[in-house]
Amino acid sequence: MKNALTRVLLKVVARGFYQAHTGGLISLFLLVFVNFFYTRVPNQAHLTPAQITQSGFGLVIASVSELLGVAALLGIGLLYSLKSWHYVAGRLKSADAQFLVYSSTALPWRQQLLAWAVVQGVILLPVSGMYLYAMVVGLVFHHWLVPALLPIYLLLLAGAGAGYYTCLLNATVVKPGKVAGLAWARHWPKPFFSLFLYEVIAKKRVAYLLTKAASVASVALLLLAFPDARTDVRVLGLVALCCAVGHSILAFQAGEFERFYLPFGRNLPYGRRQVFGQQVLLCSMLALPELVGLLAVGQAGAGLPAAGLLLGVLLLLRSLLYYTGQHMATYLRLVVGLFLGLLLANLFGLTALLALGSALAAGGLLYRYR
Amino acid sequence: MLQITGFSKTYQGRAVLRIESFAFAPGSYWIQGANGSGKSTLLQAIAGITPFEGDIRLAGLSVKKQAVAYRRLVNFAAAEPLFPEFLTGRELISLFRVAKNGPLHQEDFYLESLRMTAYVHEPVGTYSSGMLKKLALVLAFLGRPTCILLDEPLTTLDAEAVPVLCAWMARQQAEQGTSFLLSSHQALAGAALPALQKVGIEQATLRHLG
Repeated sequence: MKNALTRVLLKVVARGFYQAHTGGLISLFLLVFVNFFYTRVPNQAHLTPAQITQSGFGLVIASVSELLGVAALLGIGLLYSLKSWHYVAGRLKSADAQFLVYSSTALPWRQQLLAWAVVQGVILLPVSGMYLYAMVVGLVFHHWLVPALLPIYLLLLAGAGAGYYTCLLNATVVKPGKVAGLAWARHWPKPFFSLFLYEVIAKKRVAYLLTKAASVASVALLLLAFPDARTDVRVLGLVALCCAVGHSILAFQAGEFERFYLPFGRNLPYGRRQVFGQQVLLCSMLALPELVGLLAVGQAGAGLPAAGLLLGVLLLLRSLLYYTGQHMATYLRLVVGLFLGLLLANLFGLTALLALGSALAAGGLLYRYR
Repeated sequence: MLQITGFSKTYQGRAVLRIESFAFAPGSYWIQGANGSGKSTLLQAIAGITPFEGDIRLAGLSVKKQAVAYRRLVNFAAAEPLFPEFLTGRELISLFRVAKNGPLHQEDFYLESLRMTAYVHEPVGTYSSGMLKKLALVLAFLGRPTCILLDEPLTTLDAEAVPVLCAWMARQQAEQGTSFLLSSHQALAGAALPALQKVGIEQATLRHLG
């Protein structure tokens, strides 16, 4: 930590990584890891306390004792590392990180590698926490081999990341940077509202695909849990809320894109209604598959209010950013609060009212901001 | 022409600029001030890009109350322009020309005089900072602006482009009576340049200088 390069890299890279991925990490934690840590199974009155404990830790024990479980555990670490490498490689290409190319590369390789290893270690903290838990539970239940190997695996992941980043920065003969030109879309119209959509295609494909995967997962889970209630407006409202929360990171990125690349947009003579219309079009395009899916499953009776709720909440999230600024922590608190409040109201079948209220609130916030 | 009333801009509770009342008559103005004095902030506020307390009116139109009509009359070029890198110069020009209600092919004169036709169809991600600056200047002249705001227009501009920009300003002022407000740390000399009146930002407020 005393190393000046480490301090700078932590601020420029590690902090940025967590700011960009906090939402995803929290969602992943809530959806997957909570069950990994301890699986509660109802109606276990016939089991002894020892059996209940064994069953509760079943997943984590399997992850250090059975081949498939070990593969899944190691795979999570590898996937997380690959995602972080993808992020850092992109970050190093951004304009405000270019100083690293002509400053950090003057240091000896060993020093650079060490600094990057610390940074990658910090980025790997969530995985390290999970692995530590698996190690402790594994050792308590007398599985020795995998818990002993996990720290070595983590060191390898951190070392590989450090090596990759150091090579990226020190590459003296590099291929010319690929500019996101979207040559195939050169003759396509690009109205102002659509610019973020092109940005998604050019640079944010991974975020978009993860969002869609989260939507598919939540839709599948809810429809499997309530197979006979596909026309129940409350269930479709719940699906809509899950999809809207899944899109919260894309909404945040849309705000960030507007702030960095489109400040000139505020000098263009667009009226408030026009700006709101642009936001409606943008959010509709971002959530188009979900909107179509909701309308197809629930039709007019339940699908329309649910689709309206998805669109309204997405608009509201987008408008809230004008007031919170691009502060991920504040924004996520609002997203969680909004989700819980709307979830409760939706249980009373107020889906259509919530859709209207969210859209009106979004419009009101935008009106005041402009 | 441009009237600033009760203006106040704060960053994190610290007032960086306060202007009780200030009027710009039609003409060209060189806003001077030290680094961080608030020149860019003032230009961005006049452009309607950054929020502030108070009001700014151009030809009687308020930036807050008649925002659309106001923005059609005020154009702005940023000191360090940044655009989505997948857009081409042509696409940005079309976006601005349509939004600012400029005539078809209005940009041709500007592109030719700054010799930009060879690369204007390329994505702006391939542009150098000087090329981006030239594009931002072209965008600032599109439409029929009453007032053009140029923030550090000479930074990164090559020597050949400086007299061209001065000629544009003179032409624009002569033909359409457009006023200019520009901030620069470099001296703006040139026979073709309209007479510049100096205003300065001192002690967080705006004053006429000799």
